[in-house]
Amino acid sequence: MVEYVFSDKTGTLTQNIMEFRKFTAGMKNFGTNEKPTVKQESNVNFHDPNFHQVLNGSGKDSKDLDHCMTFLSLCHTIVVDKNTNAYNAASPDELALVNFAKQMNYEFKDIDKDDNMIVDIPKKGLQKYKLLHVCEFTSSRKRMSVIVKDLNDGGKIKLFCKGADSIIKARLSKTSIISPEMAATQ
Amino acid sequence: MEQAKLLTQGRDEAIEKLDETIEHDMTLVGSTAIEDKLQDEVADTIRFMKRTGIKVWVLTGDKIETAINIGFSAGLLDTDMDQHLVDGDDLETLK
Repeated sequence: MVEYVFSDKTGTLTQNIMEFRKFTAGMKNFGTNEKPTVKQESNVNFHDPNFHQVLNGSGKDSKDLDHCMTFLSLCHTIVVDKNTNAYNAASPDELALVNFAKQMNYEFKDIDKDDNMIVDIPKKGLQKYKLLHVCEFTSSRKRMSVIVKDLNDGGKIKLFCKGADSIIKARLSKTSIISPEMAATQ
Repeated sequence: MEQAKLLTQGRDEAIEKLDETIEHDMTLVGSTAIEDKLQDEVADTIRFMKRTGIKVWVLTGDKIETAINIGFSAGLLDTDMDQHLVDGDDLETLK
């Protein structure tokens, strides 16, 4: 007779299909629990009519949202299939993030032969970011970063890092850790 | 970095150390929520197993909040249960 059942981890209870649902950009939260009304990219399940309203508005919220979406389109190691244009991602989470950006018209196009990441961004069109270095994701680091030269912003060198909340929190600046943006993520 | 990349031994460790030196003093841009749905009929199956007297244990590397959330949605936990949370970093605390 069976007395005990041990399930090795929660990953076996779930489908391992990651779906992008909600996010915060700056001080604003986005994503509702309602069913999307438009066709979704794979690994995306997102509905929020407020998104475009904020993006097309003016001021800090619009800027923060644009910055966050640009980040999502750049901070990854996706390889675009030359024949099908499909994204090949290291993980379903990464695909969810980059496909979400694409769905919102922040589309990662490809990396050209000179290591320039090319993204198509609303109102700005095609933008080039030269990829200088990738700090790879590992299960112990729980984060990955890209270092890019922003050719659209005077060649400024920028580091974009994404990862597990506790890991990122420990690496924020003293000002960022007590900022209202930090409070908005709680 | 170029030197680290050319190492034949301990290359990954050397690169990881260098990466660590630049990923700090960052500014928060935003946060994202990605859902991993339960497999079909997980909750019903687990409730059925519990009714037959099987004891269910779950081992997980997730953080406590995630484990509790999954516990409720998978039918492992319910609000009628006595819940005990034993939390600590070392054996002494847990004793």
